[in-house]
Amino acid sequence: MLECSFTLKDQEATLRLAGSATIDASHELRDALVDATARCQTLIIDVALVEAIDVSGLQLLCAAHKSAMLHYKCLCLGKERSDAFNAAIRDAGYHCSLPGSCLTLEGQTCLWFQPEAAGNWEVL
Amino acid sequence: MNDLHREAFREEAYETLGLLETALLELEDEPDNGDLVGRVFRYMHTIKGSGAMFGFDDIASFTHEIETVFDLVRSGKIAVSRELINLTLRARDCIRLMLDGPDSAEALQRSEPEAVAESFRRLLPSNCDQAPSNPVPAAPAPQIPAPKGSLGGLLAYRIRFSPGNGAFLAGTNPVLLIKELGKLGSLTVTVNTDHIPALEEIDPEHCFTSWDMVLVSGCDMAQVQDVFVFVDQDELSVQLIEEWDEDGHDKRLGEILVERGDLDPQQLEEVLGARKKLGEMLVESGLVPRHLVESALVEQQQIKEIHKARSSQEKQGSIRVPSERLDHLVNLVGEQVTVQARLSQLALSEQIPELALIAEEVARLTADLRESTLKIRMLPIGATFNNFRRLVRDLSLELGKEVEMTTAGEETELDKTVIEKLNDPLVHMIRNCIDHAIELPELRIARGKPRQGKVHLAALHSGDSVYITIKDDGAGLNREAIFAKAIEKDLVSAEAQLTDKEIFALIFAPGFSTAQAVTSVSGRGVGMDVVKRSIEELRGSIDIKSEQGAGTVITVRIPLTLAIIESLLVEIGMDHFLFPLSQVEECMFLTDADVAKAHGRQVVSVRDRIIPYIRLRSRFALSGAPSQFEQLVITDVDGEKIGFVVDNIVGQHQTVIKALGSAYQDVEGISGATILGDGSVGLILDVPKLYHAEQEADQA
Repeated sequence: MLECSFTLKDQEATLRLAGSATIDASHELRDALVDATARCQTLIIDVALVEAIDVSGLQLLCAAHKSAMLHYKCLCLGKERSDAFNAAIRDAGYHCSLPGSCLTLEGQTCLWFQPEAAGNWEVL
Repeated sequence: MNDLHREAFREEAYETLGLLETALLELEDEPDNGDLVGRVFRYMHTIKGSGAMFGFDDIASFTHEIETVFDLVRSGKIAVSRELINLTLRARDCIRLMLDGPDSAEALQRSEPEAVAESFRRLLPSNCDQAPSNPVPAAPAPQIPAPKGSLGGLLAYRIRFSPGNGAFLAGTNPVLLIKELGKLGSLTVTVNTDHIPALEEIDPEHCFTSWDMVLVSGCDMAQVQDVFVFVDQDELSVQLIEEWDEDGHDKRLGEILVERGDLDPQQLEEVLGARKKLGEMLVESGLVPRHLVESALVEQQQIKEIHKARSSQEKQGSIRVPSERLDHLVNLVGEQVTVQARLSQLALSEQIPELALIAEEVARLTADLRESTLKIRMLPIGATFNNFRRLVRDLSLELGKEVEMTTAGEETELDKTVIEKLNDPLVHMIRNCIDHAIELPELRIARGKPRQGKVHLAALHSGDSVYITIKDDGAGLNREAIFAKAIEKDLVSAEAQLTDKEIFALIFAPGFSTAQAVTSVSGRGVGMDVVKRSIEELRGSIDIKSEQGAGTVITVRIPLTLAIIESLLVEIGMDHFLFPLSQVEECMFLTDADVAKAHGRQVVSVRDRIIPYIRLRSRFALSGAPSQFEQLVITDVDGEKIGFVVDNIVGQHQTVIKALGSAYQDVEGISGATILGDGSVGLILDVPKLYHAEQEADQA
């Protein structure tokens, strides 16, 4: 069961995900993301209440980030993240240590970028 | 296959078989110990995998049967039993003979491995899947050095997993597979999200993600691929990573990308012309997607870390060197000691201060070198002790006795050659001990002893010797029976008044045995004399203490090394002799007054103790008159003090022992020779033999 709630306050929009963002709820999550990205310039995805997320859910967040970049919008993950979410991105290898993004757009950063791992650039 | 690698495998396998035997004997005592079962399984798995890798297919396929059974023991489907332990010990012996080579394999009855394998198959439940993995793995197994792709027994794999779009719908959960893979070793996962479409285009039920992973594991290729057994092979690529480049250096990022097929070598060359960091440049130039660069970086980092860890491990670890090379090194050190002695002598005779200083420095360095070299050859005696556990177990079963073997001082070190030569005498004494000394359980109970007898093996380092004791709580030696047997064999007269020590020493006489029946184990009277001779050949001694009904303690004293010893150099006329310093108690002048007091007998009173002496000049029939001031070297032989008269005591000497030629091997009282500083030969005295020969001459 996934609950998606959108709030807009002072030009900052938040899409709060609560429950299971797994393949069973993948259409629901995509629709919520499409709707949310269309309604604001900057969107924060709040994952603090995510109880489960699988690769289909992670892919959708990634796809939403790509769309946002293409439309010169900003999409990022909330700072507070549930343990289940952190475990899912760790298990699925959804982390990135290099600056830049998959679209090689100037000034953009991957949704999964972890600055603390960026030291790898130094060993090239 | 390179012979060096096969030899390396053999050596590792011998060690593994030793560990296997120890684990099996422990498992017999603790059948519920899961760790021990796991160890036995791993040892079998190692022998199987590496056997296959190095061309020992017979060993691999034979071991597979045992591994299969132990896999089931591990999972609790088969219980550990005495039968299983016996069978596995038999299997271990079969593997050992197969390893020894064709000659031993022929000695091994052809039917034995098949019979053992069949017995293992019978232990399997009828409906059981008999194959935990391929019978003979095609790829390298853990713990065996491999020429390529090996990280100190581990292997590094590059895995690219690209599930098809329909993966989710087909029920595949890629994360579960990744987790499964992670159980095989150290796994680093890098995700590729490049193919994920924008939100407006994405089908949320399709999979667009792929993964690059680096796995460092002891598993073979087949085991890695097994994780993805239900995945279409087009979606998977598993490659063994070669850890070095062609020049033996760590691979650079560009090389890894080229090797992975993610970058054209020509493009790499072009980009390398620029001055920016390679990864940055590749990403910016769009030649390689950033996730691929990142994945390659992770691989590079992982391999570097393993090298770093292994390098620090190697610093603390050990290396394997063929014993022949060590023997050669010891010989060279021996030559060096001889040359150093010549240099010292020259410096002394020429009286050139500068030369004396150099000679002194060379002497110091040579002493250090000698000590360090001899230490390299030292091995703990524990491995030998462990070998006896099996002997005690098998003999006890054969004789219907219950015997517990305990050990102490396993860490005590002895020269490798000494340990090898010590094995047979110790085996003989332990066999005697179990056959003759330890009583049957019923008799022990009747005598008020615990049902289970005890044999305690201990080693202790003291001075330049190691003392090995074999202590049992058996019947003890029967003083009267030994004495009666000695009279019957004309070894002593019926009127002889002998101490316990002298009576116990009689069991070392050739052909002596009080056993009433000859068994397959002992009782033929051909043993203890051989034991004594073997120990004496090692310049050691043997001592027995026994109390009837309570048990026996046999103590063997063995010098630490056979190669170079400290000795006392003496002169008789123009000839030089050496006493092993460990046997020398003290030195003194033998004055005319001392001789006069003895009234013609060859004895001297030292601190109110009468000590007999032998005149070496007479003993060896050396010509010339004795020195005006003769000196006496007092030695200890099996607790007895005996003096040897010489002309002059030169002093302490580092003696490189050289064997006497075959023509001189039977010369009594001389155990070897050495080259002295002036190039002349000095003879090493066999003090116990000189003493015993003198005693026999007196009795005659």
